Amino acid sequence: MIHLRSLTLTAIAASAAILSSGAGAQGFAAVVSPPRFELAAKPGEHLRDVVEITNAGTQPATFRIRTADWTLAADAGVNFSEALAPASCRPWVAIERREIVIPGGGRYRYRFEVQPPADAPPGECRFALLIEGDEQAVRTASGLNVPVSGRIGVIAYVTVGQAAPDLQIVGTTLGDTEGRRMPVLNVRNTGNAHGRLAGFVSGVDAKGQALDFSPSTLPILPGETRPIALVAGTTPDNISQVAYPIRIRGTLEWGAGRSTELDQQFP
Amino acid sequence: MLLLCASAAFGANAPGTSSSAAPAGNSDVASNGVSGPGEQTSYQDRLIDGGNLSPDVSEDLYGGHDPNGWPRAFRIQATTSRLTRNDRRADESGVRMGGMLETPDYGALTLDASLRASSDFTFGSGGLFTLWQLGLPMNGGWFGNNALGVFNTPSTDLARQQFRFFIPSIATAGAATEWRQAGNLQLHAAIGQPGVFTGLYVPGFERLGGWVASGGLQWNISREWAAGIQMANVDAVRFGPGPLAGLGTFSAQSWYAGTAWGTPTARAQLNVIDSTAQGGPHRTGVWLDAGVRDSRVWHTFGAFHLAPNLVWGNQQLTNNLQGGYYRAAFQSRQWILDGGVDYVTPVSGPGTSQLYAIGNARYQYRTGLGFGGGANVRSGASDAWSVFGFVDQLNPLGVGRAQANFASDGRVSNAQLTLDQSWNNISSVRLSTALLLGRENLASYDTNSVGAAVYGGGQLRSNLTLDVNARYTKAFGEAAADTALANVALNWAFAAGWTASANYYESRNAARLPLTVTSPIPGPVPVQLQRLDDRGVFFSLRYEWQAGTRSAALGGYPGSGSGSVAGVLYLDANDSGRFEAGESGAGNVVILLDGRFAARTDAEGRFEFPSVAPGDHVLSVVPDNLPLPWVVSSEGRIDVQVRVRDRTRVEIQARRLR
Repeated sequence: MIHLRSLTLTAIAASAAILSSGAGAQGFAAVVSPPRFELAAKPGEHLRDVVEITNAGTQPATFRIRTADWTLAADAGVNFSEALAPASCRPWVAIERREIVIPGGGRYRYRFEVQPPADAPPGECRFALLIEGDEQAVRTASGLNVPVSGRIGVIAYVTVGQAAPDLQIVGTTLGDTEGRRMPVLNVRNTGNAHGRLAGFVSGVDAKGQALDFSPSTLPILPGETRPIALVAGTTPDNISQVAYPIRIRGTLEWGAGRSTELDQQFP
Repeated sequence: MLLLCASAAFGANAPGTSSSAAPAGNSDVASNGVSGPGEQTSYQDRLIDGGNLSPDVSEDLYGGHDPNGWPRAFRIQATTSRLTRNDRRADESGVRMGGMLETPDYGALTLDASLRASSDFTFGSGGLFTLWQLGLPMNGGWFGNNALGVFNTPSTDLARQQFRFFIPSIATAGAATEWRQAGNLQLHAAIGQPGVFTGLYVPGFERLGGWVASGGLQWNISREWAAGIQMANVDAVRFGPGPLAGLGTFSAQSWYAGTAWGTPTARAQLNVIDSTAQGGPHRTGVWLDAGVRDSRVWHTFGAFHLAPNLVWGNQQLTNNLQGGYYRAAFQSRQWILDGGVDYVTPVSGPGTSQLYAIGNARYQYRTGLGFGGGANVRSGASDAWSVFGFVDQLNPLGVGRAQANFASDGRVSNAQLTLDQSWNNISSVRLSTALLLGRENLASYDTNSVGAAVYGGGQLRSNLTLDVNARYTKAFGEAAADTALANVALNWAFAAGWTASANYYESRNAARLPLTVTSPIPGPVPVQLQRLDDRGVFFSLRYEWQAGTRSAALGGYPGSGSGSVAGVLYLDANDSGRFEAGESGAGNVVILLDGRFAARTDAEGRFEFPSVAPGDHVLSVVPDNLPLPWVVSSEGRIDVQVRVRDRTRVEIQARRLR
């Protein structure tokens, strides 16, 4: 099992520069679109979709592609597992081929299929497409050549039949997220598909500052309980510091037209 | 979408290292990482058709290109068009060429040139040539921007950053230079012969004789204070091309001085203009704009006194007007509120005082449901009022909007109901549709209308794109006249570097626009939004050559690849924030990429930067040729993100100042 995390744009740019300047390496970089799939399938039916892989380098590049199972860690990182997990739906998935070559600057429309069996119960099939480049030697600052290979996981959610999330707020707390103290909701999903919170809630903090809050859009997978931060800001473009305590009220939305009322003091 | 895609770009770390923590909410967007050598795959994936699907992959973009040298690009486009305007034929043919070269020591050079012939005098013949040198580095933190050929005279930032009144620039054939020392000083000067832009699909420029000289200086005294002056002098310039040439010539001298004070929460700017035309008396205009943020509300207000016959060079300014205005705007995550009042009265001569009030509101009730409305009223010389309301809803098929408008000025009244739907993208195809119902009463004649519109396009094949903007309205009644608008473009990239395009344009009887009630603070130039009974086709063949740019695109680094940015600057007649059927583009406006590369919009408002490094870039609109009273939002600054080999589409809204 490998623990993989997202990179910020800055980190991506930095890593691309490192690779392209590596001795003897042709430099590899790829852009994948869409970044995730949220699909719906019916039992017994074929579902085909396409992920576009663009080779950002100037030379042809080889990519290996395979599926993986994944879980979401407590810190919101993604854990990929190439071994078949219990109850994995990856046997329902078929991919176009295991290795592709994309010319410099070229774009490959890579196809994959999902076919839930005819007797598949309602639920959610989750898997990832791992796209991996050639191993390369990268020279470190100390002069060592370190073999690395980069890869990306594109996550797919496939809803089978009438699957849906069922979210409940089971607790509240104050947590530290990205260096800020933020109100946090502990949200349990007792449904059979992943869900995300949305909506607008608001409150007036200890300094009398009127603030709107938006919930983090992290997915809450079926059967798990996940902390969801409420991010404060007067407008969608700014994030405000909150003077506690604060009482937050409003309606949180999730799923197809479902909602939950919130009226909570923090802390 | 673009941001998310970019976050999916490959990265790599040495084994055992970890990258930065996942941003909240993005952890399942995409993940990057590494695998150690020798890792085992324990499950073998099934293959579609045994792995024998034909690969769907584009051709090698870089084969045969020289990756060495400074980033450079060149393109040439031959165009021929046939247009019928009000039953008179007006053919236009020509060649347009452009080039870009990014040097390490002399800034970026951009060439835009055209040569054209037209059978109709209103379009003129000739062409234009402009060579820009942008971002020329100099000692002491100075950067220079130079232009040779056809340009709009430069302005200081103070003269450009106007809230309600505008100091136009002068379209000129000559030479201009602008020097800027970061955050401190600005100097500019230009000399040449004034003229007007012409052309439909191939831009041109017709000189008006005489000459113009302009210059300016701005000093940013401190973080809070700035002051500047600029002048324009025109001499013996004809009033216009064609029939206007017989009206004689025009000479004038104009001076502007301004000073501004600003903090993050407050600002004020005092402006003074003095002009004298045709040897007449000096005319003076003074106006003060100020703004202050109070918690979540921005208040802007000002007062003005603009004497009659104010001019800037050979351009008329808003004049013979005095009064004041106030605006307030509030924004939260759920509410957008704005409102204000204008009061104006003539400085001299006939005319009456006018009062104008406006208010708009939008409330986001749920994430997928928002509604709002607004009203305005103008009283005085011409009483008029209008109201509108709308509902925006996220639905399973996309985003829908229902909007109702009513406006009346005592002579004309009209009501409109519009149902818009932006459909979810299907296989790279964009599609928006609209249904229109209207009723107009003009001089006791009732006209009812029903119409449909479609706007969209996309990639039909990997090398074939289609763009469509069409509307048809059927009218019923004694004074009824159907209207039709269509703009269809087909682009075929048939070989490396080569693109063929075909475009069909039609506009029938669309001159009468729905009544719009606007502020009595007028723009000095009447705006002609629609052409009358135009119909035409044009074909073009374009070749693009690039060397170095593929591996070091504009604003990029070696090996970063390139994409392109293409877009349209449009006049948003209904202030919807979307380019919709029946709305026009703004032609001959300069768009800058990262302040270093320039492109000029064509007659339909379209522009393109064909080779741009992946990543974040800033487009800025130089609004000198934007027809008044239209302004570009966000001070003409648009952030774009470019992906490798992708064509980033941008629609830049110009909204009517209300």
